[in-house]
Amino acid sequence: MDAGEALLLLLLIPGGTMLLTLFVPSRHANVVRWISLIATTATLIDSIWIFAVYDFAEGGYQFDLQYPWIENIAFLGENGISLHLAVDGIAAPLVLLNGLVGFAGVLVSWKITHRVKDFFILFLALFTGVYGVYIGQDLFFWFFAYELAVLPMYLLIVIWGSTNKEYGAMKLTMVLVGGSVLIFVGIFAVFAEAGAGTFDMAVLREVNFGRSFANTFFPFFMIGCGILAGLFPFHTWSPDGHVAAPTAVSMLHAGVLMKLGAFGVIRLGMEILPAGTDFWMPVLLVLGGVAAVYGAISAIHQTDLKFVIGYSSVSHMGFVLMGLGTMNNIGVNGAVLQMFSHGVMTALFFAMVGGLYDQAHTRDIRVFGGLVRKMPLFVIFFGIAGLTSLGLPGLSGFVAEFHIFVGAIDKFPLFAALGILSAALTAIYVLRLMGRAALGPFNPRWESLKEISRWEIAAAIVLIAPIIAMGVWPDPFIDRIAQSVADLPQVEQIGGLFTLSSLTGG
Amino acid sequence: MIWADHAWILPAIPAISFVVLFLFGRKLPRGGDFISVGAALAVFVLFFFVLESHLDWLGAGLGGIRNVGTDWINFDSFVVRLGFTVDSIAIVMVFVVSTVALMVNIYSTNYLRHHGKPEPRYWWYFAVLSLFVAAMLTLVLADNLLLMFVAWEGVGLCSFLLIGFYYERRSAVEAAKKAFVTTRLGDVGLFIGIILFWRATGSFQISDIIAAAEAGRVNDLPQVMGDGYLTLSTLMLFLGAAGKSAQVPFHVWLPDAMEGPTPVSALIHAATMVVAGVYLVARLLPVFEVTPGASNVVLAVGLTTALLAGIMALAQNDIKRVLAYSTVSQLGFMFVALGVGAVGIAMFHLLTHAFFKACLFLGSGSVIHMTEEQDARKLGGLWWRMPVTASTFIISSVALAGIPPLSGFFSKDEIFVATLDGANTVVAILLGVAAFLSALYMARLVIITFFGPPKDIAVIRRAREAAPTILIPLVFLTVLTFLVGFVAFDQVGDALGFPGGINNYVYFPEPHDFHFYNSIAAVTGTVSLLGFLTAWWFFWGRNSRRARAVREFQPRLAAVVENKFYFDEAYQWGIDRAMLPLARIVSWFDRMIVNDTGINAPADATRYAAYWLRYHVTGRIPDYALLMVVGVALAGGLAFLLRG
Repeated sequence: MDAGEALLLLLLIPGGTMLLTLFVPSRHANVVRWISLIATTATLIDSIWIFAVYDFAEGGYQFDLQYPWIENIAFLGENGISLHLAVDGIAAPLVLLNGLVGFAGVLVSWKITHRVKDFFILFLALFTGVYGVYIGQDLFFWFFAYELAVLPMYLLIVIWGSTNKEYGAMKLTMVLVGGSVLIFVGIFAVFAEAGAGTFDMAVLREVNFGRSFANTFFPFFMIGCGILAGLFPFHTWSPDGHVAAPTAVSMLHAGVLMKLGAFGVIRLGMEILPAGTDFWMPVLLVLGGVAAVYGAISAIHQTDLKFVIGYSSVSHMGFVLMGLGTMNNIGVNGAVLQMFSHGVMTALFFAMVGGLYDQAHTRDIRVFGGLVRKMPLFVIFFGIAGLTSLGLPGLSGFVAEFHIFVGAIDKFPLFAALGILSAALTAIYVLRLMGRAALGPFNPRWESLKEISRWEIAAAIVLIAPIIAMGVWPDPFIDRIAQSVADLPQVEQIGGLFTLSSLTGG
Repeated sequence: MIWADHAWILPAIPAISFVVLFLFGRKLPRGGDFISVGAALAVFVLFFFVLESHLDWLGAGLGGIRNVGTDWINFDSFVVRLGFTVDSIAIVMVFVVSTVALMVNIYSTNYLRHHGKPEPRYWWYFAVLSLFVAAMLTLVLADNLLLMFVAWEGVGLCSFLLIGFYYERRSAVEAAKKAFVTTRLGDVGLFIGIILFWRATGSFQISDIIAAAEAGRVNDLPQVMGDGYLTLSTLMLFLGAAGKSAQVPFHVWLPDAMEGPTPVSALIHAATMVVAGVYLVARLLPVFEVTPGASNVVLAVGLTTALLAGIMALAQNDIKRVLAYSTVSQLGFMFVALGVGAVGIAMFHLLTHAFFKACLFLGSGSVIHMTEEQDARKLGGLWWRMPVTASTFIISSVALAGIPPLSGFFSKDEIFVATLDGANTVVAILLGVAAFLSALYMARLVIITFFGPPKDIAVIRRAREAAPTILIPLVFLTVLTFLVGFVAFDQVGDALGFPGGINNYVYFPEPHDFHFYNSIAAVTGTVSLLGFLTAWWFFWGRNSRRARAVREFQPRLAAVVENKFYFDEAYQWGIDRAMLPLARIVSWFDRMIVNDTGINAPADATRYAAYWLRYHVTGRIPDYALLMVVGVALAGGLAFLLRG
């Protein structure tokens, strides 16, 4: 499959729209909204197309596209810095995820009235950056896109946010930039050590980095990217950032941005420095397992809806890191499934919380009660997200977590057990939240609440569809992911350890 | 078309009904209840086709088990099947599920109305009811543990939604949450057990796991644990079973689950979902048998539960709660039967219990629906106002107590026989005490509900016999209560086309013949009668002063029983004093140590450093010159040191 232009479109459509929007007078707010909606619709269609057309039987990197930019100058050799795009089976579902969450994000941002034009420009910048990370194959542009995805967050939170927003935004930015510094150092170390004079990841993947070099620089990628994935103990930027951020930004933030971190661990760490995985991946597994339990226990104590979901994200991203840390095909597969599943689920959570907050102007779960009477659809959608997060079979969370636990039990049975326990703890805080806020006696203070708007309903449906699809029929996802996971170096292939025929000796 | 090869149709029908009701139920006439009833009826009818084809195989000597299905998750050698199996254990369960589901569906069309007007969310009730039937049938027919787990969680969700059906009531929400979380804790064990078995055998298929365990391959793993592996895995599975089947110490959720509508209690919390644990153990009994000590654990838990719950039921005043504790106790009996390896007998008791307990719940629902009162102390003297309800309730109580020739007598009697065969006399005697207790608490309930003088005039005025849609299920279940006990006899089984009585149909590994020992039957019958007599002695009319006297004689003991041995208080203490403080400590740690110290402190340090440094930006040339000199001197000195 050589239709790399489809990937280029993923960058050109939102990037171009962003530039186009600059020329729309800011008093035409609706024009800006519609332009953004059209752009995200187009990228969603493009993303679905890429996901569907990706040939999983063949596997590997497809839609390859490379334009050299700077080469054969000074220390740069052939293809020194180039615009190199490609997707593999791991990136394909994440591209789809970004399309879905971005589209839904524009829908729920419809009600923003303050500096509409600026909001959508920054939103699209962020959106483009995320795509750039998923499809980038050149470290230079990869890093550029990574920063493009992180930095607009500061402005988005400070201008349109709420609740202690300066603090949240500053902390988020500083901590993430701190991670970027590590990545930056790592990238140049890899570049220098390889001595190929190129930032092209396809070339760097082929280089055989020594064990001691890999052991030294693997943590630069693991921690640098891990920070973005809520790696314990560098996770506190995430709940505070969620609480401060406006709805759509929370959605993108938890839905796709945190996945960039885990994705970076795969792309930079596991693919480029496989020799470092032996030592460092068990560390990642332990930290992930700790985050899974720790986040869940913290969430039990929270009273702010967004804090509950923020810590829930820490817990679920802990599962992702745990899955990666297992370093076997089932566990890593589960981690990628969980990235997708958690992405749509948490975006749904935040979309719903936004729908409530904009009317009620509070997120304290203790003051609500019996909301189902006023907002039945809100409760159903929120309930679906909640059930997904507690791992109810038939929804996407179960499929993902199940793979992670199966993968982990092979070498780390204790952590698999901890993971399963923290899935049970999830039930406690999700049901506590639902029981307090959505069910129970109706609190007459909320007589004036109305059902969430149709834009939010549309966004919810867009996000629920993949949750159910993946929960009921995960094969399209697994087919794509499994092949690429199997291609990762150092990933162990496990399946059934014994088969029935080996039992009976036949 | 061989029906048993297409058993997936059974869960598919109510699943479709759920989808239709979920999407359009609100707009359909009568909330679409006829769709749910129709689906249940279709399942009930199709069951007999499945039964027939299963019996055909047995007759043709094709073996009792048939697996069909397709792959659900499949990559490399890691396969999860969407497979269904029909064997004799499944057949018994499907019979129970389809029959009780149909009765409850019919019953609910009236129960969920007040004076002919449907309650709010009438359509939602039937939608969830359909989903429950679909999930329960999937659970029963699943041929692998993972699909079973999927359905297992599905029925848990439906139970949650239906317990919380009256969600405006805080107590209903709390009960729903408690039920879900408690069973979910057991499910942690179940899930770990499933994955541990997968790790050892590479399969989720029940048949593979049994084969591997019997071949001794589960313990052969060279890695961790060694001999303990099989024990650990099996006990983990049992944790799930105990959670779902409300065994001590997980039993606390079931009595609270009575917050749900009564027909739901009959279907989910008496006849079907709560026996899923029994069913799981029965399914995997060969694994339990080869696991050292596992059978004894099952036996001990079952016996403890049977006794404790029997005692707790004595001091309850809410009709439904008495029945709930009774259910817990009877589930204990089933686990005792499994503990001694009598799978056929456990399934037999499951079968008989399902019908009389469903009948009892529906009967109590009839009382509650008409009188709007469920505190037995305010009822009384109802039998002549509600003769049909009263007589069906009394007959079912007699069956539960184990008076011949009703069904409960046969199944309990067989449990005694099996216990005496397989375990020891002490167990049998303790079980006898539990049987005595069940006669006692049922008789007490019947006496204070239906006999004696009316205690509340407003209640007795409201009491009238219920509508036919409520009475027909009651009568139907009572008839089954009469008849189903006789399937223990080979002649009856033969006449129905089975290969003999239930023990010749459901068995592992060898069929047991039905042994009817006159001596044992006489003893068990006498124990039950004794229970009735004791109830009469303590509770009939003025005799209740004796019950009061006992309570005053030992007030502390009475308080312990009335407070259900303080299990709920212990859990509450654990939640208040352990879990929530832990959550508070972790949150505090996260805020103060991780965030404020780990993240903010470097930021603050930077800020103070900047604050301090800016006083050195004075704007005066001499200061800068001085700093430059110092800097150059330092750099030079450093270079000198490094080179030297």
